[in-house]
Amino acid sequence: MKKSFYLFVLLLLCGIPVSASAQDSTMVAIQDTVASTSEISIDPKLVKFEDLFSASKVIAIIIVLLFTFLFNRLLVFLLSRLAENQPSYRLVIKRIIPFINVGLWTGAVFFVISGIIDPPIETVLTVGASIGLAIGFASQDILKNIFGGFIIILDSPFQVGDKIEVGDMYGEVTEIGLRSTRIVTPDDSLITLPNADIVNNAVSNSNTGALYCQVVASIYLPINVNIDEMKELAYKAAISSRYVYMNKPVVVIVENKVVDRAFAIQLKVKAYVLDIRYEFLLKSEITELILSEINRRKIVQKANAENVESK
Amino acid sequence: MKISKWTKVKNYMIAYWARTQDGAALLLRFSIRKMKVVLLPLQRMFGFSVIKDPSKYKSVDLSNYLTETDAKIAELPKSYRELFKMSSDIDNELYVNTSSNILHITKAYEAWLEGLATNVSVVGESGSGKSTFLSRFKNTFTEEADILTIDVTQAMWRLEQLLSTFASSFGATDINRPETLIRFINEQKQGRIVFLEGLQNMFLRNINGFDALEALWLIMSETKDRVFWVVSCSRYAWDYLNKAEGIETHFTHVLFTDTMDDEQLRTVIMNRHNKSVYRLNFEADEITKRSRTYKKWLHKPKELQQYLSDLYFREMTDIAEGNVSVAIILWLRSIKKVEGRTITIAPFKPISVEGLEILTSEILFALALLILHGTLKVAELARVMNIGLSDSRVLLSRLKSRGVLLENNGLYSVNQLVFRQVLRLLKRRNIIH
Repeated sequence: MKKSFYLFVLLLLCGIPVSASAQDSTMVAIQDTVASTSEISIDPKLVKFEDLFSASKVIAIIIVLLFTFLFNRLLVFLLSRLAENQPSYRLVIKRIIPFINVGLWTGAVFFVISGIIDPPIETVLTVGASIGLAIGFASQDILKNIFGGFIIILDSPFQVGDKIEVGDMYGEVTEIGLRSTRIVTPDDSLITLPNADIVNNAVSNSNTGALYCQVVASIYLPINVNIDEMKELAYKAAISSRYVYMNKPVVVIVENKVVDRAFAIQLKVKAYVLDIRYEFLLKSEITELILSEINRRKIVQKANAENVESK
Repeated sequence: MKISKWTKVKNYMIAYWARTQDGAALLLRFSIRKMKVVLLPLQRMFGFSVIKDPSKYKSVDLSNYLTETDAKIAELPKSYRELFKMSSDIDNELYVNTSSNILHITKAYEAWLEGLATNVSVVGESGSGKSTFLSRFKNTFTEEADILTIDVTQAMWRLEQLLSTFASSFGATDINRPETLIRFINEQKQGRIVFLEGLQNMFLRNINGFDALEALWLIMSETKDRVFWVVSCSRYAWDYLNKAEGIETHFTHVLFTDTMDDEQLRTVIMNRHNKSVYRLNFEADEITKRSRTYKKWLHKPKELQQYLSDLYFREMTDIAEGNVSVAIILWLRSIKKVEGRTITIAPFKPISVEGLEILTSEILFALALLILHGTLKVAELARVMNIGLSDSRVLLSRLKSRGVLLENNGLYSVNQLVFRQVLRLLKRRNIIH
């Protein structure tokens, strides 16, 4: 336990300064470390490398890691099946998966080091420092991403199943990994976002764990249309869509806009979709219903004719 | 003959091995049985239950059952069928009063007579007893009142349809605007009670489907002093309209009829049965026959029948969920045979709608809309789903062939036998809330 704790602290100490510091300060640190390493006398208690990694230990490590991998895959598979077969709890179940992932792998690594290899603390410190430095130099970005992954899991700005927007990317979160987060965009592309980028950017979350999320459909209209009639029409279009979630309010907002140097009315219909998977279908249906009714009632033509008459 | 020590040991070993084998076989059988009990629900939960050729197998299962239902019910003695006929006019002995609804509606009526502008809405699932309740109110408390009943059985969502129906019901002519009808009603010397049944048919979930409803609110609010309005509406349409436009604000009293508990549902069935001359004989299924309780009562037929009857009603009322008409259909469908004066009730077997699990979201939305409206025609479904007429026809005919929908003069509705299962499926799929 004590060894495990030292190992964890060492990893943290190695990782954070290297990933966070600038190039100059890193160079100074290397010089210091090299100098101090040359002064350290080798402790006769240190175990030989061959003793630490004997053939049986290597086989045990492989078995443990393989078992962890398979067990992890099995759990993820079962939980995914369960989530798809229990639609009401889909997001709750899916958000457990990253925790299980991290928990299992962390446990396995600790078991391998403290249970199988079982090195003396001096070896842990020495090897840890060396590995830490090496990894630190070689994979600053990877470490940043891994720490980003920890922050995402602990801080939970979003969960698996949420619809998020990071920079220009928008889509449903399908996986939160230690290095990256995967989202599926509306046009069904899988995008892998490095966790460090997510942590350093503003993230907009549309549904924060709920199955429903707000959808905004915008319609631009000439300035002289009958606003009351349009608001009523837009409201009815939203409540008659099969995808709308009726437990949340439908709101119609009117804004004055300038489009192509002319005043126009922007009609914003804000409604909630009953499942985020139907988000774009709801948006499309509301727009389609409003536009076809505008055409059927010849609302724009009438407004234009009134405009000509008034001139 | 003296048996050698070695033979003794050998015999002992053989006997021991035989006992061990027996024990192991028993343990294995027991473990497998217990494992099945645990694993089957888990399999279903994770979506692993494998059924050969699911669509074919399941649809046959359901449609066979439904085809047999009418034939089986037709085979029953006429006198027995008459007792279970779904009619709003039933006598006092058969009526099970579930709540203080009659008291509330009477109070509302008395308040209206005193000059307060009250009105009542009766809400409940289809078959939950709305019409029976209204019929009892009509007969018991309003013998001297001028009563008008408007029963909306088909979609009536256009303003012209509403005005024409109301005009002919009120005996008015030349009604082309709600205001004209309001003036006509208010000019009548005597006040009256209007029973408007089937509010769920007075709108269509479409951008233009709320015209009749809007006119109704205007007519109702302007004629409250001259008319005591009693409106009945299905539960799911009520919920939707309440969320969409706060329908309950139009009524001073809202009463719910589908609140019957399991015991009351059992009373409804047994009250009707007890009026017949038949004795009941409940049969046990294979699982029950293996249970200890069943074996315990084997030598006491009366107790055994009580146990089986309790078991039957527990399972049946779980599916019926307070809906009288569903309970009655399930009861009649459970009658296995009539021999002399004994009716044998088969063990309760809920109909499997597992086949519905593989249905597309399009079909699930169609089912949700059918539950919302009660009944829909091909053209109306096309309107509410914003799809073409041919698509709508194909969709409805597919569901009809599976036995999920019933068609009556071009009107499609969800089969009462699978209504509850469909509803549960839609709730589980997050389509109905």
